[in-house]
Amino acid sequence: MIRTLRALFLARLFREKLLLVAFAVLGVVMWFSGFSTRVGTFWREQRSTTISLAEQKQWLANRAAIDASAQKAAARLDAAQTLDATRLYAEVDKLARAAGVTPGLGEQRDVTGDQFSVHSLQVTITKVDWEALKKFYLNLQARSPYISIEQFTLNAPPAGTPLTAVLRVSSVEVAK
Amino acid sequence: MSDSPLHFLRAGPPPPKVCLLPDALFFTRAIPIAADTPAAEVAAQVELALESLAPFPVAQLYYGYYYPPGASAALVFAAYRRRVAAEQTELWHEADLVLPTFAALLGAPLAAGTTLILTHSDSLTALHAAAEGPVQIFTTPLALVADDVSANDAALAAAKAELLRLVGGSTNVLDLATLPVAQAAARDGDFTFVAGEITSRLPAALAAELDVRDKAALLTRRRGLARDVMFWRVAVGCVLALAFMGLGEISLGVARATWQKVRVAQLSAQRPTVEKIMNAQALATRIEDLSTKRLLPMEMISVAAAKIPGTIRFSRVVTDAKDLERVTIDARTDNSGEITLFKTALEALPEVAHAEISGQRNAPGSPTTTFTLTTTFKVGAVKPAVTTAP
Repeated sequence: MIRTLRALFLARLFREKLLLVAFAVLGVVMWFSGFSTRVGTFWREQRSTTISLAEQKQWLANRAAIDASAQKAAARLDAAQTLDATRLYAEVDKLARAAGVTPGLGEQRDVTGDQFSVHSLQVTITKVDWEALKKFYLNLQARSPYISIEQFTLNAPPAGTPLTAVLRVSSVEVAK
Repeated sequence: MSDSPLHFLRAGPPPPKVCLLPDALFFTRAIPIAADTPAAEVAAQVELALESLAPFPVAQLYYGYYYPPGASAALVFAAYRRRVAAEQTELWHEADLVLPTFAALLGAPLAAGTTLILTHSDSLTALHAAAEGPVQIFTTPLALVADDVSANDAALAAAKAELLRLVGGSTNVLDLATLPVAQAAARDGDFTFVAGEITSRLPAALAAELDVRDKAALLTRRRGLARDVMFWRVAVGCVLALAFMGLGEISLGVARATWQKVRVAQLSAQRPTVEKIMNAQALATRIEDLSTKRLLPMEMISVAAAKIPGTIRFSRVVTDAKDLERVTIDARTDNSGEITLFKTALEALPEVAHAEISGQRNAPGSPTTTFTLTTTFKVGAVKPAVTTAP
């Protein structure tokens, strides 16, 4: 069959052969352009899926170790002393008032897990002097690691006092 | 019922276009050729021999030769160009091969002593395979009377007998009932002729030597054929590429619809579980950090403030648990010379790893310079202040 087609092709006029070849080449170029794009897209997709699956496999394989690590971390804490969001709020307010400052408490954030949750709270203290602020700070540090400071920003006017402090404090809650 | 439109594909390639010329137009000679002579040199030797043998210049001849590999002589045949009618040569450009009729049978396997007799309308040709040397060709004219069949038969028999006598040494005589007819060959470029029970196969290279057409025109024709074959190969390559891409598209579709779909489904199914594990890991790390790493902003401020020279005043202090050892202090001073002093003093402290001044600028018309001091403490160098539970 190929030889018949070859004979048929070779029997064509030169311009007909040229046109046939030109159309065939054009067809190949056009199709290849789209085909290569599709192959490239598919290749990237499958590669991404392969990597994601491998990552997932690794996470799943490490599940027991991660759980054990989390348990170990939790064991450092006394579950009874850990604070949920409400208790954190109340505790920070109590510590601030004990230091003689009036805190503005706002913007709570919670990250919840099966065994633990981490709660954070923004504390703003305005018009405070250094000594009162330090006292509040020491009170907070005394509750470490059940309450910890994540961010601390202190603003002072040109005169030096009174100060404004913005803190983000957090607490861990261990599910009892 | 009509044939399938693709019937012609199954029928195989058509036979090549061949012009068989009357043998009587040609004279033949055997010229000795050394056994190891290259093909290109054989052609040159044939041309030289023709120049000495023929009464006309080579340019006035249509000639070809038969030189099977390893033979000791070549059979050369030539015809004076003017003996070939112009209307006949006009058809040659369409032909794949132009040769004398007897030459079509030179590819037949003939045992030594075999003589083939070809009967033309006006001549007889004997092709004799001698024990040594090339095939010998004998041609004799045939004068037949138009209407007298018995007289014609007698004249033909007498002419054949005379021809065989002239040939001499024939052990096997094959009187061919028909002239050779071109058939489709097994390979492209080769030629196959059938005459009665005789089949002659001429490979492409041999057929090229037998072709009597003008050699320059043949060269041009061969170049054109080579170009056309290249076009054919490009076309075949394109068709193969299209077929490959078609298969590729199908494979791509199947792979996407089956293999990849299953994997994506698996990925989605596992995602919530994996996210839980990742969350647990993040929380465990966070708890670990909370238990073991403490941000000590006031202690760091106290260390830095202890070295403040002259008029420098802090306006803003920022610390973050993400970078426990670093404190960023925005400050101002009315004496910019003190900034370097302050930096040097801080760097001299055993707790400080390094201090960096940035953003130093003056408000227009004001003696006050503002700057940012980023101090990085050595790990664990800053100790927490003593605390007591409230």
